[in-house]
Amino acid sequence: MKKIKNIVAVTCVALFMVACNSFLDVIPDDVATIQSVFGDKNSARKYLYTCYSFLPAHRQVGDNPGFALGGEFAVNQTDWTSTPSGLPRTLLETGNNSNGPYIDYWTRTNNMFAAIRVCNDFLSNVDNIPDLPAVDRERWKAEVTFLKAYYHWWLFQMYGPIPIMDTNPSFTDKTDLKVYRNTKDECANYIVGLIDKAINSNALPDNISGLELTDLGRITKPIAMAIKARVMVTLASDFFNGNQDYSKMVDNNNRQLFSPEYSQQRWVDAAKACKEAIDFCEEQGLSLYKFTAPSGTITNKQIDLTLQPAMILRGESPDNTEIIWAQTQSNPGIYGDIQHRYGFPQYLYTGNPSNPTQKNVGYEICGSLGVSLNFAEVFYTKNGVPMDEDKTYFPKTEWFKPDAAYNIRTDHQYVIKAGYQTNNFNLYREPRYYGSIAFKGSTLFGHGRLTKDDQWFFYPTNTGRVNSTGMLARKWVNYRAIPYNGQIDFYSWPIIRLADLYLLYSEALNESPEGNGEPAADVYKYINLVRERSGLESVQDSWSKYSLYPEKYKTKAGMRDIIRQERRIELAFEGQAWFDLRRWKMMEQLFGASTMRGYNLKISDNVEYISTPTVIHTTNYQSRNNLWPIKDSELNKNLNLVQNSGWE
Amino acid sequence: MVKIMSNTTKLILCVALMMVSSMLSIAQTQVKTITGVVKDETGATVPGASIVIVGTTTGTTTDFDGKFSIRVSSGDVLEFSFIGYVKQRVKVGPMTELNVEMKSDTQKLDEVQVVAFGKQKKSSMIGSITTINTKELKVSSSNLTTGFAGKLAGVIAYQTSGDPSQQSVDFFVRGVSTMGASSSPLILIDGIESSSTDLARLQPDDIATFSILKDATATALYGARGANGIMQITTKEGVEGKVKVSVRVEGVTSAPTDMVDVTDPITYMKMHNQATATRNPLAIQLYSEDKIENTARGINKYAFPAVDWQDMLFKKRSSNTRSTFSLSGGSKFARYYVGGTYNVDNGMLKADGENNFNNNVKLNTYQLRSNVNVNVTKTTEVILRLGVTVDDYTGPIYGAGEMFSRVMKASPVLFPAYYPKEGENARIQHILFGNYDGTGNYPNPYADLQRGYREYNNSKIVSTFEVKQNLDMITKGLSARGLFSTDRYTHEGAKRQYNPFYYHIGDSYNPATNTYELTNLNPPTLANGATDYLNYDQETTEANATTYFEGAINYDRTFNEKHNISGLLVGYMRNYKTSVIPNNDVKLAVLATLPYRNTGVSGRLAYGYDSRYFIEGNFGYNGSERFAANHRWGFFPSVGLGWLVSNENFMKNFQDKISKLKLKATYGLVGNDQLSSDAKDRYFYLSNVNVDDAAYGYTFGERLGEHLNGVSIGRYANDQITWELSKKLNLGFELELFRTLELQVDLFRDRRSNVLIDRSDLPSTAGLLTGVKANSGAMESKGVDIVVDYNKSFRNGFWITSHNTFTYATNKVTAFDEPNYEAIGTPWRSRIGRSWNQKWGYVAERLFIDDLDIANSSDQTAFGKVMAGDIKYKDINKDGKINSDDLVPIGYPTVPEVNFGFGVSVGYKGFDLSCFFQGTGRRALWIDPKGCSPFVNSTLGTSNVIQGASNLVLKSIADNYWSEENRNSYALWPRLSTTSISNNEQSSTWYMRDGSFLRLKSFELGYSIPHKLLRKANLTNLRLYYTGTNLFVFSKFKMWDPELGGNAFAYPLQRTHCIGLQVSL
Repeated sequence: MKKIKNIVAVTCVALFMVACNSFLDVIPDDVATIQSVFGDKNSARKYLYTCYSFLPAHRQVGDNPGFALGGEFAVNQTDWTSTPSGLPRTLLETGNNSNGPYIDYWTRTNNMFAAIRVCNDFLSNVDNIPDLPAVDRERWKAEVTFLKAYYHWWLFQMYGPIPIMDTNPSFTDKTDLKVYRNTKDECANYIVGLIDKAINSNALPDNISGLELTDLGRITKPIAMAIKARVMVTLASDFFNGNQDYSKMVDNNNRQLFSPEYSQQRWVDAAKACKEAIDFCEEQGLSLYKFTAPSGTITNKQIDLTLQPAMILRGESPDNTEIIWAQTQSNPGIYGDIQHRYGFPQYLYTGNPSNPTQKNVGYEICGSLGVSLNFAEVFYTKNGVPMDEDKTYFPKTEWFKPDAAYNIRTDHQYVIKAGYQTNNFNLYREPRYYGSIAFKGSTLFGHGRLTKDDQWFFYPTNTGRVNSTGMLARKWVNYRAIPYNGQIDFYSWPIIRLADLYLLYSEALNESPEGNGEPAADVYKYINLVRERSGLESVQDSWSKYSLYPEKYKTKAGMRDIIRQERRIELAFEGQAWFDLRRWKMMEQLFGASTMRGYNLKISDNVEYISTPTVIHTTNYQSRNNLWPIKDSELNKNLNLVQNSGWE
Repeated sequence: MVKIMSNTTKLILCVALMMVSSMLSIAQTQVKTITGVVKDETGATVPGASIVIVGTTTGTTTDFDGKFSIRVSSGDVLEFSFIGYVKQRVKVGPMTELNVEMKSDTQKLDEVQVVAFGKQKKSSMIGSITTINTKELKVSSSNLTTGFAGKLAGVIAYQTSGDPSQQSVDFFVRGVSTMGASSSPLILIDGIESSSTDLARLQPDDIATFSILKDATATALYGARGANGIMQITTKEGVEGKVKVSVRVEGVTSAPTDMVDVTDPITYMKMHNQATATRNPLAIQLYSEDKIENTARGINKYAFPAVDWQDMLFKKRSSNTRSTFSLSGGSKFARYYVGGTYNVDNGMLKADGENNFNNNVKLNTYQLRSNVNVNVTKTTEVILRLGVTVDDYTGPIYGAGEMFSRVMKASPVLFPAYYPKEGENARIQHILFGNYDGTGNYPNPYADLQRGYREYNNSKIVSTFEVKQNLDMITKGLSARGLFSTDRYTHEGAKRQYNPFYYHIGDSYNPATNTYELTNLNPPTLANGATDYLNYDQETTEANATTYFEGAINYDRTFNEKHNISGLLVGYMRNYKTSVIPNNDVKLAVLATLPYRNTGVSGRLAYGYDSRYFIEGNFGYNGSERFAANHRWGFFPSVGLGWLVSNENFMKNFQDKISKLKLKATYGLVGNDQLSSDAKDRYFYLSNVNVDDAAYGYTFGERLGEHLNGVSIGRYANDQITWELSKKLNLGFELELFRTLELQVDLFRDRRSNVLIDRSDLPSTAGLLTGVKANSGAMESKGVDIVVDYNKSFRNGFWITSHNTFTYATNKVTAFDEPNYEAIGTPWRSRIGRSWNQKWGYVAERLFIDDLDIANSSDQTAFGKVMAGDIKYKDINKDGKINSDDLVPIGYPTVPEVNFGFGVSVGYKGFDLSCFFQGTGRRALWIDPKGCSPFVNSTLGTSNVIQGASNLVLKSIADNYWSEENRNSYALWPRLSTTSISNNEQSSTWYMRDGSFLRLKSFELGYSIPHKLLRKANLTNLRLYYTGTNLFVFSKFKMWDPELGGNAFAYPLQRTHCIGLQVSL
């Protein structure tokens, strides 16, 4: 009987325990929350870094439309599911689409709206961080304010009018989420206003060099001013100023999103912003960088000029005083060596040593991004004028004729492998041509061989996967890197540099006055500074002496062409090409119904190879590509959004 | 086979020894022979009836005339039994002649049925429960679940891979009835929640009952856990009587049902070149004319290899052995059942002498189960159950399925498996594996097999202690029960491997001398170069522990012979802990390793009047730790009504014809708290912030030295999240005709609400870093399940049984967060009203004819560049472009809606024969275009990328594809490519096939040695049998086994042939 009682008792206790809710409380109290992040200045600092982490990877071909649609490259791979190298072809040949757009910053994971939400969260909590000195607090606020503007700007560049997300919507209230697109001018004013707010807060540091090097990459006042200048010039340019293409784009409230009005004042304001930025940068000690090989490296002037384009990108202080903003996020693990993979011969590349598992990937895509002949033609002759304008240069019909005097020629011995027969196209070009592009027979100074008479040279290999035009963007790999030994020179990627600003100023100033009169002196001054640094004569001298159109530089329209071509050459392979060509409304003209050309790697006979360039693929750029399509599914979720013209 | 036989011989010897000892222990006194005739109620003799001396294993059977004779002592009791008749015991006493009249088994209705937390009389059962004779579940594989399809009414099951090391059977009770994270049933083995792996490993021989609880009354007691149905298994217990020994030994050979045919190497190369050139005339072709020609001529098998990896690495068949034994018996005080199993599964891989280790898969499984019942007092019973399962595995680094996939993705012509060690390489120790370029960038399956091996040991121990107390002394019919159980699971494993040395020939082949030079592609000097020593790579050790406590009070009493009242009140607590941290993510460790807890009280109250009318109410009130405090507890009631029509007076006259007719109806609520399979999603009411996320970090500084990780949000807090709710309705009847044919039909409807789904209508402009979930899904499923059983024995000893099932389960989404497709003008995209397993795709019209055709068709650039020979899709909304707006529901759901099975067993004298067919209907199959496209690396974009992989060419594709020479707009396969062509990989009707099939699932032929002969050896049963499974399949789809689904290169299902011997004494 006692036993029974015990059993009953046990059962009762069990039932009692069951009723006891505390059995289910298994959560520790100290789980991290957003509030706890801002409860301490060191965690809050992490949140500041988080705000930066959304910066688009400007160096990535697959993440930067400036690269992908710039027409600088041609590839014969159409597949880019594994590597981004096929994307330039896909976009130019087939075009984008609204079903699953390429480079979709609107809906991709960690898209720009997510970036803006994080910035908003930061700005609304930053005042609650205990013990954060006021100086830091204001600086952080100004930085994040700038980033918020930049993220809006990135979207604006791609999509045109966008919804301004000045505060975070709640996600439980459905109506709050059905946002409208703001008009182009509202967006423009908002973005410029935010950048001004960051600049005028006076909380951003004035210069880079005076700071501890550990802060390099954080937003400074020169960065904010330079980006503002770029924004203002873009807003003044043909595409965003007086563009009729989008006049019919209205939303369901009948608001016209993209005003077709032209404003001359925009150019005046842009020129002013450029000049202010230039002056302030120069005050802080920035100047154009000119490379000379350090002692112990046996080069000559020709080689130095050839190495220079890569060394400008390299941007290492204190020597290189030109970079205003470089993206320091060059994660060596994930495609951090991307420029090395694309810009270096596959046979000299052993992969990324800091991430051996990525080795295969690197190998696969190595060198596969071929430079197009279309773009190679853009570079000047040694006289600093376009190839087809230079009256002293080979006539166009002879460009691809074999170099008849290759056996005896000595004036190219440091840029073309001795004894190699190339074509006329590769002779007597400006230093930036040899410094930016490697063609078959190009010498590659450095990379472990530091004497001018013992140089690597480039030859395209024909194993099918590798290279498609016979030319590489050698500008991406500077002479100090030794990739075949695993010594990759990870460098921060320049987002804006002084030469860019000079050319923007020349351009804006040239456009400022009405009419087609002679440009102001400063227009020539700043473009000439850039030319002179690359060993070219001034615009005035070059055109007067060598051009078939010696008066060209004397008009606004002629100067416009000159500045544009200069800009394409100077900023080659820097992720600017599409942004510039689009704002000039030149994409249709260059890539509408055209072809991308390169050498035919299937030809093994050298003379035949150099003399018969081939079509790599056709291009079919339609105007609608000037603005990115918003993904269809996004429009389905929010019926207040309208699609960009041409993508409906 | 020789080995198996010798094992068998040993076993027989053992058995014989045991018999001898048992014979010796039987003290026989006053022995005499008793004879007699067994007849039935009509006076006809009953042949084949079995007669056993109670408490011994001695027995006999009646002959053709129903006569028997047996030697007994006067104190013995004889038990007479035969199928369809009531067992009868007769005390021998002084008589020498004994005529017995056996009565038809009308009492069968009062069998006991295992139900939630207890047992109920079958006649008073209202809930919908399927039980199955455990014999039906016997399978010739080490996975019990492979036998489910078609045998269990109300279960939809299918198998998508034959890989023996994986649990590849998907099964759902009454189909998929939720779009939530888990639609799997709750599995209870002896009342203890178990995993599907535990179920798969269970030995059919150890199972006493197997039932599936389907409707609300049957599952409501499990409250928030029962919505997806419950599989309830009990293991055998000892019965009072002499020791019974049973031994079963089987030898099984297993071979793929169907190997896909691939092309020969020459066609492979030609098609590869064609695939390259047809997409891009400028691209350089991988295989030169020279190479193709030289390969065809076979001039040097190393310089111009043609490797059949499949033949090289796989045996045609593998052989496995299974042996089980059991021992049971007991006295008035204690009963015991001990079962043991030893299975050896060998893989199909060819072991090679080149290494010191054997790489073939070898899986040894040991199981021991011991159930002991002790009657401590007259009213107290203590039960101890112990189950141990141990797996010892050795095998290649990659599992069998993965090896199979690698073989199907390796180039047959780029390099040989290995080069011979000759010439200057003669003294190299390591194997000279072949590869093509890079540092070994192409898959060499031979190297993958030889490079090392993996070992692991799993062990699982379940121990249960249960006390049952009869409380009749308090009030009659009252009893109580307490159960405590704990189980432990551990897994530990390791890989030992070297990095293979890869060599290639390059351009070094010299045709004049027929020689070549080898170059090492990955010298050890490289960062990730080859090694000639094994390294050791330990797998994460897993340890799980569960403790479970259950206490119950039962009441069951009949008043005035008419009013039966029964009740149950049960409380339980469960605590589960695991050491497994998902993806080894340290930040998840805090949440993942917290205990998982459930607790609850449940009850049942049932009233039966005169065994005719039944009413029953059940409830579950339970809580789960994963919800906010205000949503933690839920109440789940259910009610059922039953009417046993055949017990009514007006039916008495028909009792011979309609021996049973029962109508029943139940309705109730059940829940499902399995909201997410992801450990990080355990506590929806808390936000999940990662304050140290490298992906959100940033780096500053000249030297990139200033780095901080960032803050990311894994989940936004939502304290409204709760379990999903199921409203179940079941209407059914049970009918038995002529005492031989039994029919059970259940119609069901399950309305699910509160299903946790992603809010897919949130626009990106909200800027959320992670998806948001809400209890906003709803679904309705309905269908029918039918069982037809037929049992009949004939006087001449012929018997026949037949088990047939039919299950139809269909579902439709009734609420779902999605864009307003009606407003957008594409109502066909809405999921609402469609099956959850419905697939959307494009309507493929044909292949494009030429560029003009493309230009005149709707714009398909959304899928990239399109060429002639690519698939042309129909523009449903006629907007001039093909995009997701043109996606329409196509085909039947991917999960079959119909499962059926029919089987028949017949026996005559010692012979028995049975076969079972199983079929699946209303299921569509989509050929996986990426997985089957020739030369495409289908692993790209998956989590398991194999560099340089390239699909082999299916024979059926090589025979019928679009090419510039054969511009057939209706060819099986579109224009070739060596890379993925997005346009041709869209889900579309082009690849849709009818996935229904009917297969001969099993066939068994057995012979039992006549009892007369056995008696001499004192054996009760000795049966030899052959079983074959998956013998053949009928289907409209001929390319490969349709059950596998869309991927031709999946590990094929196995056809097994098994020879077995079963001995009992």
